[in-house]
Amino acid sequence: MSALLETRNLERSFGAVTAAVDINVSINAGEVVGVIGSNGAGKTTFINMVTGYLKPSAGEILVDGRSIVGLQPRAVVRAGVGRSFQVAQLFPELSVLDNVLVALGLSVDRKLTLLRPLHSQKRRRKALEILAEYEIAGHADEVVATLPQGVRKLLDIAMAMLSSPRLMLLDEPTSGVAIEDKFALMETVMNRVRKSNAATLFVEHDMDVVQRYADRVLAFYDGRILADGTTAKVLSDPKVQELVVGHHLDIEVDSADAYESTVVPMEVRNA
Amino acid sequence: MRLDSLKPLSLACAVAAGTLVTSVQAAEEYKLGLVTFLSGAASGPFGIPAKNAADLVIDAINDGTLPAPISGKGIDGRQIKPIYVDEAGGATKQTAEYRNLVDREGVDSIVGYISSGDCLAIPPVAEELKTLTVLFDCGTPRVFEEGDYKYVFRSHSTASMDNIAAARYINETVDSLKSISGINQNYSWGHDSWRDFTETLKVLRSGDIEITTEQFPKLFAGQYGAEISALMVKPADVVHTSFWGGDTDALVLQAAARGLLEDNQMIFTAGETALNSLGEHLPDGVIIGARGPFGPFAPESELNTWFQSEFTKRFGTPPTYPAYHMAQAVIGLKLAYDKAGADATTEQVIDAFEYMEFEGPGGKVSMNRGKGHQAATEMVYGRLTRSNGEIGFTDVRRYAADCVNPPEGAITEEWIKAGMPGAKCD
Amino acid sequence: MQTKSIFLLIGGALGLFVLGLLVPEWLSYLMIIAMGKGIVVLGVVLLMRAGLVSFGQGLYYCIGAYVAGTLTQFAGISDVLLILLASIAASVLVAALVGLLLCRYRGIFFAMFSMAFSMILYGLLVRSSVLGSTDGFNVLRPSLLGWVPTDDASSDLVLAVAVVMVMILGSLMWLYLRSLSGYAGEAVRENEIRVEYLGTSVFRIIYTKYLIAAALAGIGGTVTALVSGHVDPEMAYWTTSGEFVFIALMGGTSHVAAPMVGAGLFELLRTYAFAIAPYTWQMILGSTLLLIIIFLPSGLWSLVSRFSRQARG
Repeated sequence: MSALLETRNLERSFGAVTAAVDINVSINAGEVVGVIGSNGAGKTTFINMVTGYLKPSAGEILVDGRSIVGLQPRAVVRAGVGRSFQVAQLFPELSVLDNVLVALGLSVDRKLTLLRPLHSQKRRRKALEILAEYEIAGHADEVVATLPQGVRKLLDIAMAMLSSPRLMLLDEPTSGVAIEDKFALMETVMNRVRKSNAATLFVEHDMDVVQRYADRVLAFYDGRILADGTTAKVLSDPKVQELVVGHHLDIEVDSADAYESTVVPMEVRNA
Repeated sequence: MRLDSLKPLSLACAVAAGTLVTSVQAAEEYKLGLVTFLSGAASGPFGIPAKNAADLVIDAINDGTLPAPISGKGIDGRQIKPIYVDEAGGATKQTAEYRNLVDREGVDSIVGYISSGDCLAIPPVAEELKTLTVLFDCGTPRVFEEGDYKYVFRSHSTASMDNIAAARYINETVDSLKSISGINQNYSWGHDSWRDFTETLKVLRSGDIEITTEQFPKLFAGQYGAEISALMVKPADVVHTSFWGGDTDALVLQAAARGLLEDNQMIFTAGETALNSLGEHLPDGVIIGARGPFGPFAPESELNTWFQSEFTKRFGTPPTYPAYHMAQAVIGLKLAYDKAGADATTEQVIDAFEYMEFEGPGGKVSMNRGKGHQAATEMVYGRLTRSNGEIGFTDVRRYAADCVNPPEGAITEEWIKAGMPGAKCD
Repeated sequence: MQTKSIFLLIGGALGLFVLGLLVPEWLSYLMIIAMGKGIVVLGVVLLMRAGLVSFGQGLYYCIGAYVAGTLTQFAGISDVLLILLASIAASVLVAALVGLLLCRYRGIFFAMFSMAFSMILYGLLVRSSVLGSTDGFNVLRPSLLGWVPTDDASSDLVLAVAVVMVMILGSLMWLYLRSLSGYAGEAVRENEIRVEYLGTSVFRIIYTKYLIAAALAGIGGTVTALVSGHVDPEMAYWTTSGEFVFIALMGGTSHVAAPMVGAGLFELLRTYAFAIAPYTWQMILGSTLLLIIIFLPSGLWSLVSRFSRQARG
């Protein structure tokens, strides 16, 4: 089957600095991929290129077979890509419910109706249903600025999922969230995601979360993909453990799993 | 009561009180609305001197102390009560204030308006509200050239007179006149002044005049370095300016510092108001106009002597032309009422005022343009000179009213270009 | 519910019209001016809610006024409906061009650019001796569908036009602000990135609101020109635009009635300041605004909402 997301020789430099190079990735519908790497390894650059925020210096990005290079973020979103943010991007002075209502209108309804009120019974009900899916319906009338981090991140993800994206990119979904709430958040999100059969990439620093929810892992290092394979294989790779994770992980490996190793030997590059 | 709820409440009370006030007029009072610049850049050189003149003349009329032949106390036997309104805020604001004066204050008539914009906006409202209005100072000729008004009078000549006479003066008194340049403020007053001046000169010299440069700095610019440089780089035999107020002061100071005044013959068409403050910087020979026979150019008369001495005594400085303009307007109004007789209606006063000829502190005023509503006076120019430290004038030339004012029915610009037909000059 | 609102609106309009006929002339005139300016401020508030402060609405206010003046004075067209249509068309056309550049900017840059465009028109008008330069020219009396009113009746006609415009535009704006399009403005103000990532163009949202605000300013300018009988370039000067922002701050941005209330109180305040303190009226105006900003930062309308909340609660 053709891949949902495919990047070929993707590259991005900022002047003399190469932020990402030689990125070749192929992701299918239904896959849940964890993206790991230390800060500056190229994960965010990769995500930004896929969502249209950054233009690649070279290479190709295909969503559903269509090239999205050069498209504005809003066009990329309409092509079926959704994104949540490390710092939740919400409408702080509006209530949670209004956030969803506006987001529904802008992303799904699309017709910027001039005179029909936003707050109709039907829309309220739909918005509350959506909030319920993320278990934050109880906060419906609270103003966003007053909410705890976990609720904000859920709302951010909910808003990104409204247009039923075929490819969902979650940028550090649990960052800033209290440890005891991380798994609850991921449970809620993953339930929702699996129901939609979207291809999902989530950037994560917490290896427990990665282990628990990712079927596959992309490990970034120094602008390149260090490893790409099943979670167990990648996380047990000693190179990955040394360069990315920073410490030893106890992982059980099933040697029957396919393992695409793209381990690249270290090169000395010119400054 | 909390502070923030006190405010709207008191505002509401003020509104209620204001709307309930009906025009309760004491039987012996003549309410006169007076509109002039009480704030802003025009108040210093124009608005306040005008207001002072109004106070002086109104008090004298009320007491009956104006010299003969003006007689009687008050207007129509009633004591004049002045109601002052600041002319600031623009034409739309002024039409609102005009209506307030008529509807809310119940004035009998209104004397006012220095700004040409206001002088164009007010007459239709005056006609609508059928209120006698005397425009006392604005320059634009357009008022009666573009419309006929029954209730509106203008008791002074338009600014066209200033510049037509200026052209005649330099044509007659400047030897081997070949070129002119100008620095005028970038709005209608400045543009119209320069246009009337140059077009008249072209007619007088059959086109034989060169314009080396024309500068139009922004109104109230205050800094004329670039313009003065341009005037010096492109010298001309005469430099024309219609600057007024603070701009004149700034120009004189800056021009004096750079030698522009010494090296060039300058003519200040409205320069009289600056004499008191800037006299020391003005070199001998500079040509000054006072927008008519006013101030140092006023002909000898009992009324003028009275006006000069009383004004100087009361306010500390001699009266300048805005003061003369105001005195002329109020006196003209009073004389119209006297002519119409006791208990005259507004329409009867209008009949009396039309085509009236009277003597103001600046001499003869003939209401013989604009179908009897627009005044014409003579225009005077002179060269500054000093004797014993006192400022005086030489080479004073007087231009008859019918020489430098476009005749009845003529449009200034067209009349000049046509060669000023019908002008009666000696 | 719908029919009840319509009846209330019609009733309100009739009431306002009758009030305008009954009060003394000077107050009626003030009311019409306040309504004209209030309509402009409606547009200023719309932009403020989208996070933009326009110091250049005078551009369209002046266009609307000069269209009214030019049509009545030079083209012999006095029908008030035609004049309104022409002003709206002219304002929206200019806004469509100006907005292409202006709506790419935010904050202080938007404010300064909007002011610059307005001053460009000012400069052009000052240079035009045909249009009377700084003195401007007079606007002749309007007519309606062939009926040419007498002098007295023509001010009643303008009153009626003003009242009808206020009611229609106020209601439309009220409905608009509660719709998705209205909320889109709030969203843009709150978080442009989020709006883009929901797949919608921020530029298009702002551009649309800019066009609406321009049309409102044009209508306001026409009403003012018809009632005052005079137009001049001062209407495009930045201080006129500043006055609209002043009124928007005074009234508040939370309700469509706030600009009208703000404009009305501003005009009343100014005329009484003139009467009480002919030499220092500017101080009264300035101090009042200062007090409002300090004690009522959400504008005078916040008093209304506070009282109604107290009454209910």
